[in-house]
Amino acid sequence: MHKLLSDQLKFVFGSDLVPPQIQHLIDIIDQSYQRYDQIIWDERQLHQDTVKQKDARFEDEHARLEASVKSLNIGFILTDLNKQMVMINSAAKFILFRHQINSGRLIHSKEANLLNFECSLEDVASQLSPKVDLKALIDQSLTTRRPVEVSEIEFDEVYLKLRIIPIIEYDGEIKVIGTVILLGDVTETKRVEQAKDEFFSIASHELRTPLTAIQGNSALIKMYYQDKVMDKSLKQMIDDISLASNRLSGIVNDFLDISRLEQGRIKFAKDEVSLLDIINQACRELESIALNKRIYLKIENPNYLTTHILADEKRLKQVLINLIGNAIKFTWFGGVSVSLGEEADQAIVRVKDTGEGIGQKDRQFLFHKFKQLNEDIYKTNISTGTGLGLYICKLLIDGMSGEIELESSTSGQGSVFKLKLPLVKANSKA
Amino acid sequence: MLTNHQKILLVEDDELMYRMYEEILNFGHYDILIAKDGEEGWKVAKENKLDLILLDVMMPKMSGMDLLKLLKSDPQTKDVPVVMLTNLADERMVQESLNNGAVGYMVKSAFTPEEVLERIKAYLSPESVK
Repeated sequence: MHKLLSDQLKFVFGSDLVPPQIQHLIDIIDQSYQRYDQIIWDERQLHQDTVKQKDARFEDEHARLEASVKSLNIGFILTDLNKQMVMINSAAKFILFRHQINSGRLIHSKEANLLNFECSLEDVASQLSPKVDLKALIDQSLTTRRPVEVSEIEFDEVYLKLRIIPIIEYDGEIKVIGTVILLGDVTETKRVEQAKDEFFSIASHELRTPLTAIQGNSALIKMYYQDKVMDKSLKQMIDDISLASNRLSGIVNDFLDISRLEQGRIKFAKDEVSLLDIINQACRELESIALNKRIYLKIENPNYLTTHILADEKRLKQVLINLIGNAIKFTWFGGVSVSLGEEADQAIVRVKDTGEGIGQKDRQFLFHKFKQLNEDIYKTNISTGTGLGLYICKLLIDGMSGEIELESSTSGQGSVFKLKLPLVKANSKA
Repeated sequence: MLTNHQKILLVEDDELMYRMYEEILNFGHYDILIAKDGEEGWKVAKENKLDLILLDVMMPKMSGMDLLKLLKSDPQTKDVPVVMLTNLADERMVQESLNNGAVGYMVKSAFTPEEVLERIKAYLSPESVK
């Protein structure tokens, strides 16, 4: 462009007739333009180099990432905001479509078939339907901006674990730009778990018969041969056998309950029962223990005496005995109170004690299997139980469509356990 | 020994169990017959006039469930009340035995000797037969 300007000036004045002052000006203009050009050119060069470098680095990064994702043995699917598939790795294709892929004509090799197999998110969703509504789960993850997980999907003779994670970008504000879907094959884990449960169940059954004989015979001796057992230490031994077999029987029963509950082999009655009656029964069974410890055991809130709930009487009593029994066990002063109430459509039972309380770090594991509050195995006191009680309570309450939680706990001041159970609706009351 | 002349057949293969039940039933002053498998149980049931049969579910040769069906299909034995003895409070098996004509069931490990006697007494009194 500056060439044009100097050319124009030369044209105006005629090439040989440019006055020296003008020529000087032209030279200055030319020089500065040339310098400007050089700077621009340099800048552009520099810029292009950086972009190239960045591009190259980005491509490397991309290749690495893609290779990693493709070689993962866990299914990996990327979706955008419109729930369209951005990518799917071979493992995901294999997990979801292995029959189609294997039955397809082999053009090259299995690997090539897998690579060439194309599918959309609709295909993936329809494979998982009706067990899982994939699109609804993706929506959930996009709107809540939180991962969504389905821990066990029975699919085509395998068990899958599904996890949907929102991809969140921070660009001045938080934006969700899509999701990552992970699909894991957990069949092997599941099988090991089943084998373990089966072993657990068989072992417990096998233990029960000899145990019943020990329990029964020691009970018979105590009941019918008391007059023949004169020796004091022999009597003590028989009492110990009886006590030990009862304790062992409690443990075996816990094991059996768990295996049957976990396998869904316990059917729950849905009877209309008086909550107060069951609480009364549970308290009656435990009052002598409280009395011996010189602590109180009382029922509060007489306003809700008529509360009727839908539950399995026997199983609910088992839960209450466990909760109230635990409360008594860990309370040394004061006592235990059980209260009734209602919230919305739920009956509420609170078991409140003035006992030891439960430490913060123990709370998260409270309703877990084999979790006794006391990390140190050497300090665990087996006579206080197997640590399965609250886990069984949770399974039982779940089975009755209720909820169980530790409502509050203060170290040294006691705990409150809260139960929610479905109320019998007023209109369905007889 | 003084007996109340009510005859109970116990069909049970585990000797720990039948000896214990024999002991318990002795204290209830019943006449006790013991069979150690389903086939023997069938034979004893045919040869005797019984007031009650206590029948274990899991047994060799002939299972308790099969014997129950056989007992209920024979005019000579079909009116004798049968109580199933089970190790597992397995709802399916309990339901199946009730469908096949058992009057009730007892989970072997769930009762003290006293409770066993109480229940047997109840099963033997006709008004309690459901």
